[in-house]
Amino acid sequence: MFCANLCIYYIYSTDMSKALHKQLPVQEGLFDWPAERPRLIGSVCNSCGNAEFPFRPFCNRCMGGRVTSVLLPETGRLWTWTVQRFMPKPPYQGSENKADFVPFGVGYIALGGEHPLKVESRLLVNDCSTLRIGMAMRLRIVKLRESVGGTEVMCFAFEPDMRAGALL
Amino acid sequence: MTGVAIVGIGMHPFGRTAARTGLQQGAFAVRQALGDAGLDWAQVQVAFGGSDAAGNADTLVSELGLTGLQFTNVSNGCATGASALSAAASAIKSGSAEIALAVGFDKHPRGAFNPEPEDWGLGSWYGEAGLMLTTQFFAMKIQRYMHEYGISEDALVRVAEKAFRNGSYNPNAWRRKALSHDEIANSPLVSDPLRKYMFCSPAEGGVALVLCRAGMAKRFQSRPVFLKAVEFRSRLFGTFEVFNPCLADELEEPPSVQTAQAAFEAAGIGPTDVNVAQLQDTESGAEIMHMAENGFCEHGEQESMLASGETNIDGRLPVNTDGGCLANGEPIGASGLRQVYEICLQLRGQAKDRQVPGGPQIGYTHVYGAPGVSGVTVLQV
Repeated sequence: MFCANLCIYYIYSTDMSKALHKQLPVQEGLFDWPAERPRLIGSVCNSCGNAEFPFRPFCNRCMGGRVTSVLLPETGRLWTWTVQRFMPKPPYQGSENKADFVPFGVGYIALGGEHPLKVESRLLVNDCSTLRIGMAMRLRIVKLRESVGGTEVMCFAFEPDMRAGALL
Repeated sequence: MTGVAIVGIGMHPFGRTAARTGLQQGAFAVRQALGDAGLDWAQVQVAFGGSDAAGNADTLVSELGLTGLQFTNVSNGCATGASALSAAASAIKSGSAEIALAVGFDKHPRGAFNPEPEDWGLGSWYGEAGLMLTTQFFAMKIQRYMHEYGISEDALVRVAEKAFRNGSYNPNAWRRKALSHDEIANSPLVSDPLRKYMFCSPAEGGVALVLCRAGMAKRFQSRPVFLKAVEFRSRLFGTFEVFNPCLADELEEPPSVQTAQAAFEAAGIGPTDVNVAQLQDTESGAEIMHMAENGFCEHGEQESMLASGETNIDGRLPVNTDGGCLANGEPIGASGLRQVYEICLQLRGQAKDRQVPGGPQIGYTHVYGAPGVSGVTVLQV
């Protein structure tokens, strides 16, 4: 089943200017937003090529201080996963109460390409019978919660990439 | 180099003790350890202690006596006890003290820990999004491990079953009721594939160890336990640790691997020489992975070892004979020292109902904690 507690925005078909509420990323610099094709923002070391997420101004592998900001691939493969079955205590700030909490998936997605790495993310699936290590996944930008005043706080998440036949 | 011996051991029972603060549980353990060695507090020359949530360890002097000794507080998460022991042993090895104390205690509120992202060098988004949970890390690490090495859910159940059975023989354990395979296998999922009875819980308790120069050990203890190695390592680049928003493409061996290798090298022995071991079992999967990471088996062999009872008290390599973290709970500051306490009991032949048969001579302890630290000791009588 798909989680009810992260609202999915079909960004490919929605005109952003028509969004009812102001939308802000949970943190600036994690992903480009708003954007037609939002992507996670990482860093790649100019010396050793190590990729990291989120962006950091120095490399954790060689400790080099020259890095380049990169947009990471929006698709990858599920490397490992779990399901968060109880409602986390703060600092978690979701939109739900304990009574309506719906378990959510969490996983690492292996992103390939020129600068491969694995990114930790919430998943938009929480059914352990459909999650498989190695399945194709793709990035979505979804509503985490509404702040006072109606601003929608947006976060990244991954879901099975049906276009790639994720569940086959 | 000067050898180090453990001549006094003390432990306040783990679990919940409403009548005593964490600090008082620490003082209880110190008094017991001093009594075990026949030493007075005033004879202790240097002390290292830690607590994650129950106050400053050096405040123990107000419970034990204001003797003016050097008392250093240590804080290394789950490896706090290992850090205290390592520092106390170093003081003796360096010749700056002959009698030293390592102590750890804690008292945590109920429920999972709720760490703050900023304390771990992360943006607040990480916590807000629901990723700041140690339970998720443990679940995802064993999930991947099971996929790579063919470990089944049955193995996870067997680890917990053994822990609670061993705990039932341990008067100092928190959980002293054996649980059946079915009770564990049917307990609710917390974070797939890990279930309720496969996780340890934050708890309370205190442990103290009195150390001295090896040459003087017999003065205080008829059966001293010698610290053949105490090693401590932090992580290398590319390991899979708790609270990591990203992982490297090519993973490095976890810090337990390097720590274990260093300890075996320092002690001049190998894994097959060990008669009884304590391995960090924050949850069932951790014990399984740590069996291999510490060199006691190949990856994947754990499945058959658990099925045939090789890590039971009467098995080839008894693991977590006191019930481990699963049956004792985890008072962070005290947990690593509890492992050493248990090995001392086993090597001294004083473990009673859970005594490993055949007179074990060499014991081993291993802690692993956030954000990627490991501490190992090799102990010998």
